[in-house]
Amino acid sequence: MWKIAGKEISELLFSAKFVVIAAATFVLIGLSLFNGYTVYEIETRAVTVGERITEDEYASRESYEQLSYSGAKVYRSPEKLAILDIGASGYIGRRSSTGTWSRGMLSESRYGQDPALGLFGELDLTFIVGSVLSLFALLFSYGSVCGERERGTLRLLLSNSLSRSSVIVGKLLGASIPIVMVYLVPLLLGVAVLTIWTGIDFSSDEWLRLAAMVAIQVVYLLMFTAMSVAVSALTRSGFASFLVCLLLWIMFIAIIPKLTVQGAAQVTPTMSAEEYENRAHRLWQGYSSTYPKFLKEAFDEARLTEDEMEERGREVYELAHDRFMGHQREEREKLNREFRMKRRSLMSTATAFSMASPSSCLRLSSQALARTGPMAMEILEEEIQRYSREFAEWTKAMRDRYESDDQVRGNYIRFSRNEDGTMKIEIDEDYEPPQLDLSSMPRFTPVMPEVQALSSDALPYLGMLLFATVLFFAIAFVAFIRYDAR
Amino acid sequence: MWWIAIKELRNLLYDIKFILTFIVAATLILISIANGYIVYSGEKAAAEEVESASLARMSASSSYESIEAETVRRPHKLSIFDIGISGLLGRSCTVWSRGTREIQGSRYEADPVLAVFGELDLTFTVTYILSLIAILFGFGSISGERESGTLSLMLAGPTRRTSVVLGKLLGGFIPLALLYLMPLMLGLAGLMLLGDISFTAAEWIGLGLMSLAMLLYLLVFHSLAVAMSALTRSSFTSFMVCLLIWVACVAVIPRGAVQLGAQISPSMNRFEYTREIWAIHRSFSRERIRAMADFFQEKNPQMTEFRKVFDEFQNTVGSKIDERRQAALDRLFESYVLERNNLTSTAANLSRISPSACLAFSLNGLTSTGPELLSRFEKAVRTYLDVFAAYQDAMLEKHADEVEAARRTRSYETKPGPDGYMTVEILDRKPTELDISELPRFEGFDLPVEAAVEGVLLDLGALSFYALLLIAIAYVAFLRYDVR
Repeated sequence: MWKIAGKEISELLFSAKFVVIAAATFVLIGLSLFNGYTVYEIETRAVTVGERITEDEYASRESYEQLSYSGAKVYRSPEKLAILDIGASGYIGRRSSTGTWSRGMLSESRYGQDPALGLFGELDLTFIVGSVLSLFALLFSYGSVCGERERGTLRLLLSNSLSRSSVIVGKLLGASIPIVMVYLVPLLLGVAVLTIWTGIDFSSDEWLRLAAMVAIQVVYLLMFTAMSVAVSALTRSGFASFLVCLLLWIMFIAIIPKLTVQGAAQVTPTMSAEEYENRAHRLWQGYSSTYPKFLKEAFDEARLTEDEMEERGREVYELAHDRFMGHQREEREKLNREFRMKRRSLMSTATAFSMASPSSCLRLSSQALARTGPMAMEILEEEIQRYSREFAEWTKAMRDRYESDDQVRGNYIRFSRNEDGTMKIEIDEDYEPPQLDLSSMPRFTPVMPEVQALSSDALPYLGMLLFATVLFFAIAFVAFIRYDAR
Repeated sequence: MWWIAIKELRNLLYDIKFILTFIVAATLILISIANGYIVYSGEKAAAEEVESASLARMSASSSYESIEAETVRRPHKLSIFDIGISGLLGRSCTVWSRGTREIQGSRYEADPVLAVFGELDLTFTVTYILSLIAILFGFGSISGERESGTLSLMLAGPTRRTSVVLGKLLGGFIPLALLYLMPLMLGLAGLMLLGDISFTAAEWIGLGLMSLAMLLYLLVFHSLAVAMSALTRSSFTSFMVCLLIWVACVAVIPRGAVQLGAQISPSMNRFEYTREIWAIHRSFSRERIRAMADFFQEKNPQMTEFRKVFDEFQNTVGSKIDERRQAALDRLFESYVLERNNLTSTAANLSRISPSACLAFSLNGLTSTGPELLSRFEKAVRTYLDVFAAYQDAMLEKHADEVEAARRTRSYETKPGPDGYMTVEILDRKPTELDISELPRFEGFDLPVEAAVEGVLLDLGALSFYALLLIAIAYVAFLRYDVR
């Protein structure tokens, strides 16, 4: 068995086909890592600029009340593992506001700013492995059985005392090892160069996730190898075998993923962007009908007489306003939750449907581990929602402490009334807005899932790929036992 | 030459492999057209929903000052065949008295999972699958015949080498063209009969140009295959080389080139751009307040005349300041868009090495689904903003009294209740119905036919160049081909 494997490998190694493909793989993996790193750098720089701008904006706010109205601005830092799998991160927004009227969702994505970047898709490692290396795997071994039959060497091989089973297992091994080596060597080299040259620092969690990604990619390549050997053992001519492999490749890589996602979209009802906007608008326009109710409630509780109005009327108005804003925020959160839930259900349906394609399994599991997929966006938006509440509580506390009603707030311009009924305008040229004390302001530190949680997300995909690989191995095995070697 | 072509054709047509290939390709083409249609209808319905919701909201507004219009982007009919980037671009942008908001509401925004695998449209099927088939039809045309021995037989007769190579090219290309055209016709018929789609004359021209681009693209890959076949001894080798070139052209080069383009001419950081906008707003705001204070100082009005004097200020000094602010914002916008367009064109020019990129760009202008769509939408929104602002001013003047009355009505009143304590009476206000019949409509911003055709010519030229180059290579290589 091992001798067969060794023979297969040495045959392959010295062919022009191997040299060309190995060289091409080397170049492509290097390019993809370089590209991934470049994009990572650009995004990091953009976010850093954004964060600095936001710090300035915070400093220029004149009151905690203003701050609570405009809310905090949070940024999505790029994932380090996006160097290997850019995933959907070009489509996902990079910034979100948390003010009362904000949508609490990430906006301003990379492709949203420069759609040209989104025109063709990304050149990342997952793409290279998913679309190109799988084809190379087919090229390596589509002729492993039928090709030998055509050359006549298969009969010679079987005329020895070797059993058919050891031959086929040897062939499978001999086909698997080269492609895995051709993949792993440039990859490990590339990662080493990346970490040393750029000084980028992966945490231990990231190393584990990277290892998981590599493992899944290896299984993926093994699956395609097994598939092509199986097809080889089911056909009579090398050419036919290759055509069938090519057809399967096109179906798995291109057709099925797209169809399953479209199918899922047709089958799952989601809340469209315009429905969301519509309901959000209605919330906002409800101001004139909902606010008076809160006001009435507040007044009925306060039981003020007309004389007390001048003194304490303002309190009541502010209480009603706070309650109303709280209500708006709640309703907004409810709407956001519903939107997110529907989006999630589409994601799970699409995920389930796309188990049918190994390429989808690869891509979705890669994105899960790299945290660059739609799921990561969901989690981040939930974290933003949580932070939004935290921030609102903090600004309220600061307002209560520093901005009580009897403080007269200064301003750049002030309108008041003269004794003769005309308007008095005062401009305070020396007016300096008060410096807010932001030292106790809570910062946005999202808690993202780590390798354990993500691995369990990726596990069903890995399972599917392993199942498919074992299935194709079995088919190759059985087909070869019955193969007519003449 | 024709005799050779007919022979090739006949060989192909009676081959079971061809029939199977035809069925597969036709099915895929029809599926992709159907999918494009589904996406198009979805987008159209969404756009109509946004527009009608916006109109309903506007007529329920209390005054012309506070109305907000939605500028909605409608899908181009030819986007059925090329979805492009229209999924990631927002569908609508709110326009109101203080300017515009963000473009938002893209298809992928609500469901990013749809973006993960790309779209299954006709462009995809032709770019990836029909090009492979084009290679399959041609890679064995010369080296394959040499291997089977029939090549020397063919050349033993009176046929010249020229006619052989041209005949082979033609004989392989005609079925390829039929492979594309016949399902396309069927798909178009289906769209018109079942999908209730009708094409205008301009759209038929667009369809014609689109098919021309697709066919040229297929010719490029077919001639590549024939050329490789004439340059190698074994059909296996020619196929491998073609496949590698295919992978490079279709998958690798466009992606890499776009990234390179972004490196060479980067665009303005979005966050810096929004900060610049706010800086402009802030500086003009200060100027405005000072001017208002001076104005009021001069007029020295009573408190009761506040509103009147404010309106007077707004119509004279205030609007001039607003104009200057708008000019500053426009300048900033222009430079932002310019940088983005530079990035787009650098990326495009670099990626034109690959015929698939040329195909993609040639279709962009025709279907309005290319990267420049964003800039065109933004510009169209800003143009509309002026029209809208003029409408608002006109309406406010015309209905000045009603507006004044609306300003004074409230939905509640705070007053002492029967028990002596202050309470709130919720007034039964008649729901307002604003007359928005004269609201200017947001016209589409599709490229006029001439401009679209102009845009296509560059890429059609590039594709023709590649095709001719490869045909020439095939020709020359075959003339020197050793048929033994």
